[in-house]
Amino acid sequence: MEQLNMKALEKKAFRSFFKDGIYDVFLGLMLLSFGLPLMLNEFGWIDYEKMTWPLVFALTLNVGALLFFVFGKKYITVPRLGFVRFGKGRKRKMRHVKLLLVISALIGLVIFFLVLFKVLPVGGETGIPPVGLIFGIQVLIVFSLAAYFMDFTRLYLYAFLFAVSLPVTFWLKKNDILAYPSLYVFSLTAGPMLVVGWILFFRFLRKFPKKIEQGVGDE
Amino acid sequence: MSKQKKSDTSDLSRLLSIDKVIHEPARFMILAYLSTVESADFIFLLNQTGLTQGNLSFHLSKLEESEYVGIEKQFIGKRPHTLLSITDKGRKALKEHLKVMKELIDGLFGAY
Repeated sequence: MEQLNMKALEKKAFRSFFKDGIYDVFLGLMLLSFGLPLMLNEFGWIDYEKMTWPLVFALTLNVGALLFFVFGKKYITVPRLGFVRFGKGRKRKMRHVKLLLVISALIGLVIFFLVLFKVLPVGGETGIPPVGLIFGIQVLIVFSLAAYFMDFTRLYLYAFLFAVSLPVTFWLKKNDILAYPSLYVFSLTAGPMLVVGWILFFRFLRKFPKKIEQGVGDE
Repeated sequence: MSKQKKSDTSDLSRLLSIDKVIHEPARFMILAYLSTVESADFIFLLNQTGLTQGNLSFHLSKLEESEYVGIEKQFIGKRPHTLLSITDKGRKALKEHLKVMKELIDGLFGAY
């Protein structure tokens, strides 16, 4: 019983760092980076077969998301919520998450090269391509496990939204159901993450003003 | 054996042996939070406990005096930064306090 309560206390403290919405915005922007090249292609603004521009857009959004995450945590969250080094159990869980993300990135890299060298069809006219299914399945597994290790409940929903985005887009394209499938699909998948993220972010800024620490023992 | 234990737990004089440093709710809360992490700074504890700066500062000083909490002061730029951690003595005292309280409560309310 005593052990359980302490675990709950640690979990509550750890989860307080998800109140800032930065993870949500980061993930929303990352997902949008997958959809943006497809959207631009649907509008006829870029040539989908030439990989250069889609990649430039995707990478710019990825870098932007990463910078927002790193600097947001460092200059916005920590000065407001404080600095903490969690215990061994939490560190072990976070090592699992890092390992999962590395494996996921490696799989992503392999998929990227398979697409680049046209081993895997990227989609469009042929229905749901292997690349969409592989992406969906691996994201669902990796994000769900990360959500479990991080005690980050919203991440389960985000895992689902990430996983369905590409396969549904390709399926809609194949069946010619909508004029701009990626616009609708990515608005409905990345959109909620960004909306939730920005709401939490501004609520966090209002609720936790920057505190200046006074010395221990000074009153 | 169980009879002996029963008489022990219903002995209210044991309340007098309770560690008063830890028994104070704010200090108990601070130690409980610190026992779940390796170390944390002043602002983290301020947010988690909901205490005021003056209150937290006062209780941390008391815990430091009893050697239950280790305080490491640093300056990041021109700002003071206090890193806090529970000491082995503090962890042991917290465990003992929880044990005594549990025994007393079980002893007092077990009959109801």
